[in-house]
Amino acid sequence: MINFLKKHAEIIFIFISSLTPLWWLKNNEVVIGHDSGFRLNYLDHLINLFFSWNHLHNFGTDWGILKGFLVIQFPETFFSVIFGSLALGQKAAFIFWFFIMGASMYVFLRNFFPKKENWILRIFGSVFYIYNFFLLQGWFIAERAKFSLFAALPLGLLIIYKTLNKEYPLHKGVILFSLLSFFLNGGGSPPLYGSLILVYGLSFIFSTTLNIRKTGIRAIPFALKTAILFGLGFLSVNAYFILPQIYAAVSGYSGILSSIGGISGILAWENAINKFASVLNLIRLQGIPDWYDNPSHSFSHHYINNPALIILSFAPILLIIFGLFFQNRKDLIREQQNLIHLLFIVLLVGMVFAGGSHPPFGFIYIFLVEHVPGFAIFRSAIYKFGPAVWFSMIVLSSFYLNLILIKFVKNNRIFNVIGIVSILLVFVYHFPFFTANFFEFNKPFTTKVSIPSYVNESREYVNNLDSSTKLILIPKLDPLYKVDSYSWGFWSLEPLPFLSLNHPVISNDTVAPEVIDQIYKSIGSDESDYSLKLLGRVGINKALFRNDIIYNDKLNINEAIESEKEKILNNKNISIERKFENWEILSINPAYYVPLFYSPLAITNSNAALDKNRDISSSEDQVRTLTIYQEVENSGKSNVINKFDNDKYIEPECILCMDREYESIRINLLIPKATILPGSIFHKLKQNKEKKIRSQIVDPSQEIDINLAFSQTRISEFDGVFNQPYLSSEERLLKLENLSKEYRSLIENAVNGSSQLPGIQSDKYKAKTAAYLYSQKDLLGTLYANDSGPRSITLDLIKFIETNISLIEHDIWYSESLSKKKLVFSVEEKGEYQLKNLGNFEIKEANLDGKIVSMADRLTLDKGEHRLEIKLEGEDNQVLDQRLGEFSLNNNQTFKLNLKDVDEYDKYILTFEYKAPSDVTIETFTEHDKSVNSRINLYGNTDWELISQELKNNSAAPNNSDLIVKNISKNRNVASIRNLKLTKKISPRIYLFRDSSNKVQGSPIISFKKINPTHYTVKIRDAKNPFILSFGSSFSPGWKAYISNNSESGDEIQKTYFNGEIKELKPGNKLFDKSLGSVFMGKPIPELNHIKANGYSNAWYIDRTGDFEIIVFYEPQKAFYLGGIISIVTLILFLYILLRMKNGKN
Amino acid sequence: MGKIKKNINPKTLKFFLLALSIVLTFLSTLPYFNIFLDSQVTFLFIIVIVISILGFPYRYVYLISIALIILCLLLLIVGQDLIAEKLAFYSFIAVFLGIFQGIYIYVFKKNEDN
Repeated sequence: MINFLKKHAEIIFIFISSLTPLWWLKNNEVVIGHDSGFRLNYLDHLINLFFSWNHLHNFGTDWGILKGFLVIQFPETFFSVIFGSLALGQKAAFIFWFFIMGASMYVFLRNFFPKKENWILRIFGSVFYIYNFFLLQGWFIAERAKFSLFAALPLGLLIIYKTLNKEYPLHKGVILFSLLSFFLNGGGSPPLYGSLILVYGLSFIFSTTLNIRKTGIRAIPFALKTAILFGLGFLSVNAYFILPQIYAAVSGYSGILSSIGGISGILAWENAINKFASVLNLIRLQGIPDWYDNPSHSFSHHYINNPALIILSFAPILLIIFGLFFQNRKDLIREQQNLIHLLFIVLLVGMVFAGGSHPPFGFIYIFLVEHVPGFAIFRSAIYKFGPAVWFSMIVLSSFYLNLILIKFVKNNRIFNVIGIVSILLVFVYHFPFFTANFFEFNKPFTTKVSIPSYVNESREYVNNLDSSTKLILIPKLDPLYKVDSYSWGFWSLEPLPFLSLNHPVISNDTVAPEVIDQIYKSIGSDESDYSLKLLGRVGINKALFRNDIIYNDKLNINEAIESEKEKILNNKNISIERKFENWEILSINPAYYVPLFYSPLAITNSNAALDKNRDISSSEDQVRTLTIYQEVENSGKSNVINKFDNDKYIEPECILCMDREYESIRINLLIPKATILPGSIFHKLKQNKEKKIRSQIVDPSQEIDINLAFSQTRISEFDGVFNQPYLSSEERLLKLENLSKEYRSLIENAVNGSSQLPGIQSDKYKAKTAAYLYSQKDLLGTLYANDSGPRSITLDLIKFIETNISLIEHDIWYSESLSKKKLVFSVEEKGEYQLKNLGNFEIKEANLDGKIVSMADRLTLDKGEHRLEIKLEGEDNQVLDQRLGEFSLNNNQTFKLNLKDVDEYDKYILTFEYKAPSDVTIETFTEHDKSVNSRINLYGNTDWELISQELKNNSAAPNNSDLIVKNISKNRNVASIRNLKLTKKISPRIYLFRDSSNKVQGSPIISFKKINPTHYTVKIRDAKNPFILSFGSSFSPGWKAYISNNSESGDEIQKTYFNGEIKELKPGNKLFDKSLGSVFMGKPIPELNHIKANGYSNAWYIDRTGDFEIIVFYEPQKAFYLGGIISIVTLILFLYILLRMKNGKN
Repeated sequence: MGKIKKNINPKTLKFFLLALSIVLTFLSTLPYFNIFLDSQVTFLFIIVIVISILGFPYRYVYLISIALIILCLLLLIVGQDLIAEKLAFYSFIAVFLGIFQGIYIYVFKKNEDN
């Protein structure tokens, strides 16, 4: 035993060093929330990860690209299952990750430095590798993906190095590397591989260069062969997560990959993240943005201000340079020397990459982001490439510490004492590992929490409800930040119930579809029948009320939440089913409940925007109803949609309806200052660019846009030449004449083009052209007022503009006043229609295509565009507050406006006139949470200018709160303001309705069964006509329906609906089912018959009658099945070869 | 190189390069010129010349690096972060030029010795 301990003392010490998490997590504390990805339903979550569709998140989302987490989240699930609790499981899993990283470094160092005298290097390096601030930053959410790659880095490098130096046979290297990448896969997240790619790539190049020196050109084919085989091994063993990712990238089904944003966005983000990633900070193993940006950071101030810690932070780099200074060639064997050189190269390149866009090397990163396709995935450079810097710095500093001691300390005892002190210093320097509450990121919000007992009790209760349960969270998530946060510390963008329950949880999170917003609005309003219809039609039958919510602003049960609670409890259709202290399970009246699959008996078709769902859905009383909106996903599918003679709602478009909207368009048109004027050597380039743009015109409206844009450029050049110094008057006049000629031709083309466009497009372009002309006239007016220049040519141009304005303006179809609206709509099919007014205003008079009509009239409308003019009783704008007099608004000065009768459906418009010597920025926000509602830019202007801006509505604003208007300009810029008005605009809700006399012909008998979240079987019986099958999961083109002839039905029924017309069978909960054969062998129903219904879900037109089976399958899951088979076969093969090698056979 | 060796006196070349470096460093601080010449790039340019072409022994470069790092440390303690950041960069570059010289000698000269 003693011998064993002696022999393995070093690794045992690393294990003991890994027990720190026991100190962090006391009693039942767990890490959960923020981005940690931990769940209370850990086992079910791991099982769900096998499927590419996450059915628990709202109405379902794709998460096929997260398969790599199957391995990363396995340790915590395994330990939690073994110990029977997440708290114990997490402790064990944290120790596991700590140890695996330290052990990986230890194995790496032991391989290169096996001598007894190198013990300091081995222990110091391994301990430093697990106790550093790069990892500590990850520990607050226990970033297992980061840890796994941190652990993979030393071992992977060792395998590559040994293979390229032929110490390992090639097949052994390939197998070891592949297995390593299987177990330590970084969650399969490509961006996290930045450091690995860098270190492994440099290692390949460096070793091959050395091999070329040794063996000549033969080293190149060997290196290529090694690289290819390593790559193939990695791809095969990880095919289970790589294939779904490739599938998602090619098909575009997953929104996660496309959410990276544009180049400029990435660089702006990069500048913020890497603001402190300077060489100075990186060589001290610091520079993590949170240290400097977060004033309430739990420990960073010590390291920024304390001289002793600042001195200590220089220790690693000083050790390296001193070591270099004292090092002799004889100190190292060749292999060690090669490794040290390689590590220096890794450090140099790592430093360049980890610094991201930070100077002085930032230009390299910026160039790569801008020019190398796909490089943009490595945004947040310090996090992606940081491990290369930390790894090389740690190994080098450990090495040089050991080298200096060997060289200068000859006494063994002193040698050992200094070694122990150095290792202890690593712990001491990183004291926040033991003393700081780094889990708390914004008091009281923390990732380390004790889960209240009522949360666990509610979880157990809900998880035992039947599989048709679908819950909505009440109160909704913080409307501004969309986080779920509780008084006991939990805070996350992923709601806690979603991390704990095995039933779908509906919330207003960042990716929630519009319909969820409407549900919340309806629950909070007095329209209980409408809310019931909405809840039922999306299949929500329960609600979870959390009394322990605090919003991000930390106001416990603030006014808005209180009023929401009151409203909900007043809704007679919602009642308390079970109460667990602060959490209550509410039951929703199932009057309008529809199951996951049904065939609608009424179909409504509308061109209205989704936010008009309230008007359209509430008028339909049929339970099994379906609404098809004109959405991108439904374009080109009108043939299928029109197969049923649907109810139709046409929403006319109101043209320029906002208060003085037409006048305000031109205010937003800015004429930029021309920097390149005619005569400049660069002007030719400018002309060529304009020619190129013109050659790419594809339609007449685009040509008008280009003519208008170029006219703006000509006017700005006119202005530039007018004021250009050192120009003779003849030369100036000649240039101005040429510009005027070009300008006139552009405007004439735009005016003619606008008149020739069809229908309402012509009116829109005429209004746009007029707006340009007005802004150009304004500029010329100021030039004309200048006595010194050539005035006659300017005056001619002003007259030309005025003529053109009068030519086009008189017949533009736009709403001239607030009580007289001009609307336009298109009819696709000739038929009988009726006007429906669902708004709060009475219509005094309606004029359709020039004829006066009444609301009761049945109107026969031809196919094509129609124009409607309506006169309202009174104005639709209600002035909430106003200040008619003139006043100044200095920087940082504020004033208040009262928000009366807040209704989140209406729009709020701030209108005023202003004068400002230079640019001024104004922000408006509601008083109760200081959140910014809108930002208004006032451009420097010495004349009174009108501005009218719609404010972003913050639905959390309580009644009678104040709207604060603040001048936030930094440079003491002042604005003079007059005639200020805050108006509430109520949208006109007028429709043309066609009532169908020919409804859907009955519904077949349906029984459906869930095999797993990506696979359902639907048995159809007695279908007499073609029908629509609705599937209430989020719409995705990945959902496919296959028809098979199997119609046997022997499964146990869980629930029946509509007098047994629809049966829900007990779920199968299987990874595979025999019907999978039809999915792989069969052909799905064409995508043209797949419609987006109710604004979020799927529906298929089924052109078949009789008895048959429909298999609904999420196509991306196929990639996982295929990848999984490849991975399993490869793993078995590799393990078999390894076993044979161990037994001495080749 | 051969032609240069024949036609130009190495001492003149060294003097010329050193003078050029000083002029460039000076220019890099002037308005307009500093658009093209960043002072950090100029420093890099100079140190490459000093170490590689003029054959400055690389061990001394490490001493300069240590001096610069210690200066950095002191500046950081007194709150002069921006100057410290620049010095750290200079020190870093100096160390790496020394290392590259070391690698070059190790990889190429060693074989010649053998």
